[in-house]
Amino acid sequence: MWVLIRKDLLRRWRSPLATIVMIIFPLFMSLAVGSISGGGGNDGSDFPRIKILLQNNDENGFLSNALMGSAGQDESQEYLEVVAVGDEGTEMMEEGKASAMVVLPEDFTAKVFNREPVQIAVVRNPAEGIKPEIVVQGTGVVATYLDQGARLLGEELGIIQVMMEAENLPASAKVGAVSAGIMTKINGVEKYLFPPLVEVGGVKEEDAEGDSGPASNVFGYILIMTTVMALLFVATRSMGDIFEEQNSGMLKRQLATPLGIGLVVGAKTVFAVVFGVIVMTILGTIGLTLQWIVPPVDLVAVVLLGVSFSLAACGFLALVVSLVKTEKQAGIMGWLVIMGMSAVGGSMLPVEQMPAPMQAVSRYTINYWAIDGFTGLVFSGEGLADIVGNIVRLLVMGAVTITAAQVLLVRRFREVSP
Amino acid sequence: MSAVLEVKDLRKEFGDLTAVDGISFDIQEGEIFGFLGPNGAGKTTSISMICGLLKPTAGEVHVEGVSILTDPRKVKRRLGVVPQEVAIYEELSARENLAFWGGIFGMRGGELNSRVDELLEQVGLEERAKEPTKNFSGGMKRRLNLALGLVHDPKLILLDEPTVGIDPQARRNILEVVKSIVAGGRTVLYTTHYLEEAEELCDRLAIIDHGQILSQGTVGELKTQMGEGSLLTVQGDFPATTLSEAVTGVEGLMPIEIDDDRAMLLVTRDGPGVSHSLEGLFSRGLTFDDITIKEPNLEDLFLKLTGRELRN
Repeated sequence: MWVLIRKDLLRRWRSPLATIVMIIFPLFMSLAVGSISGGGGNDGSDFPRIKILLQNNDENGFLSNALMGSAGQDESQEYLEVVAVGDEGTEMMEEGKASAMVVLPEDFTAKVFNREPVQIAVVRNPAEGIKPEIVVQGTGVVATYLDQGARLLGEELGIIQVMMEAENLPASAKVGAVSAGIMTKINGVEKYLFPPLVEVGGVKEEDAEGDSGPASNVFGYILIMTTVMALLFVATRSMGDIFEEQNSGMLKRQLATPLGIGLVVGAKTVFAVVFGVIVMTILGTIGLTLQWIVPPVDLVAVVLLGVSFSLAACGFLALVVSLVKTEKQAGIMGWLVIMGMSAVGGSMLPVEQMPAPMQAVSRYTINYWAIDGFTGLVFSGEGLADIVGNIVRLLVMGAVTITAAQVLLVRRFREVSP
Repeated sequence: MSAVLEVKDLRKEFGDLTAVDGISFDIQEGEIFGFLGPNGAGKTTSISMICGLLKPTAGEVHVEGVSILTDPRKVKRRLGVVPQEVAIYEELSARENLAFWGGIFGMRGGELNSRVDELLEQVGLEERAKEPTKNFSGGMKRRLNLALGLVHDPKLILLDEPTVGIDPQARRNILEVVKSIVAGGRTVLYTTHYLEEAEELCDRLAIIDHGQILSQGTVGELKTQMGEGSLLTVQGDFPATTLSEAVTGVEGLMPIEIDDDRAMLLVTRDGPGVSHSLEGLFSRGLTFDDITIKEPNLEDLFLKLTGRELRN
């Protein structure tokens, strides 16, 4: 069997282009998607900051000044750099010195308080892709809250404006009355207004937990997701090679020797598993070198999970190959199965972001258990004991599919037509 | 001499199609036995059954007394199969290809290396032994294809059309290798549809068509089946019936194949001769546009046996 496996490994070594493409694919995807989403570690320090110019043409307005003062405060400082500008803002935008410029118009405060239509202008930097869009969306959210606030608190805002413009300080009782009115209205609509903020708080809690784990970053996460998908393609190609050998006459030639078809198919499967582990090792090493994955990671657990996933991947794709008749059909069917499993199993989108029914289905894919195991080991500091369930599931799936595929393939190729 | 290969009543059916229809023959040790027949005659199917790739519908195959049906592994160890298509790994070098096939037969280390060197020299590839075979010419690939079947030094070598699609020089090289194999005491079953190869190489021949052996023997024995004499081929504007009637009235002239406008006739050696035969035909009012006189060969025998030419 080793002679057959060695031959296939040597063939891959001598003709490495397809393998290189399969290795580049997850790296490219990680780099591309990771860069778009910031790519930083859990401390957020690597997240690219968005520079926003804020031009306030409503210089004496209470609301505009409040917005100017609150922008870029607290946690948002990590992501936002807000710079107050005057007329020079336009020139700075032309020079590409910021992602976007937000312009508050003259009489902004007065118009909001008087519930008159008012527009906040956003100037985008066309040289940047996603960052100006984030500013536009963020400004839209602010506008929505201002609009709803003005509608809700219109009467109180009018009183506040009068108080602010008065020369003397307002009486405490008057302030108290306005405050009570505002609180009463806010309490009435609280459950409609604040649920999104509560959800954001939930995310922050997860971040805080992640801070204590390894410092691997979003590149590493995407690398794991896409490597799992790439491994399925590797398995398809490795198992589909049996058709190539059939077409070239090599299979017939091998079967004219004392080798049995069971051994030939078995060796091909073992090769596919071994080759999958090699590709994973290369990708993992690159991930470590680029510090997308940062130790400490339980290496034994990673190896066991990698082998069991490669076994399961080869089993699934061997089964696909055993059910079709040609190399072309194997390619098409393999592609469909891979795309389906990857979409549902978390190789394209984190499972947590999927609808509940899809999350339930994802548990039936090998992608899910592999990604769940690898991300647990790399990001949450889990060990072998934590992912043993993943390994067992993958081994069982692999054993069942490989056995079925072996039976079907042996039956298929037992007698080779002349 | 003892029989290395014995084939008895071998038959293979694919549904309604009978690809091989009860063939029987044997090959003695040190012999080159030729299977001569056109494409689709059943040669490759026969070889596939002999080497265990196909299960016969009926019949028996024994190699050195061992049945392929009851002990296929033992038989396959004694066989070297060279398929019709060039079956090599093009990513690998000639040396790596040979080492792989040797490895399959359990050869290792020094034994394997020296055998690989020997074969590379034998097929003239020693200077390009480390080069990926995808860079090889068609002839070089064919030579390597042949060598791969010899690496474990088998007793019986099955060569299925080993010279298809190559230039005359490469063909000559392969024929020389085959001769050297037999000179080394091995036995060869050689299928071809090239008449010249069969005549040059084979000690004995079987002419096969539509899955049946039509005739077998040495080249000399087969030629005598045509009869002793000269082959007279005539072409012209005549009906077959008229010529047939005329031929029966001419002494020393025998019909082999007569069609409208074309006929092949044998002028027997013990008869009055070619001139007499032609005069006899002319005197019966026949005229010809073209007349050819030659010694009969296997192609003519094939035509006589099957009614069609070998290369159709």
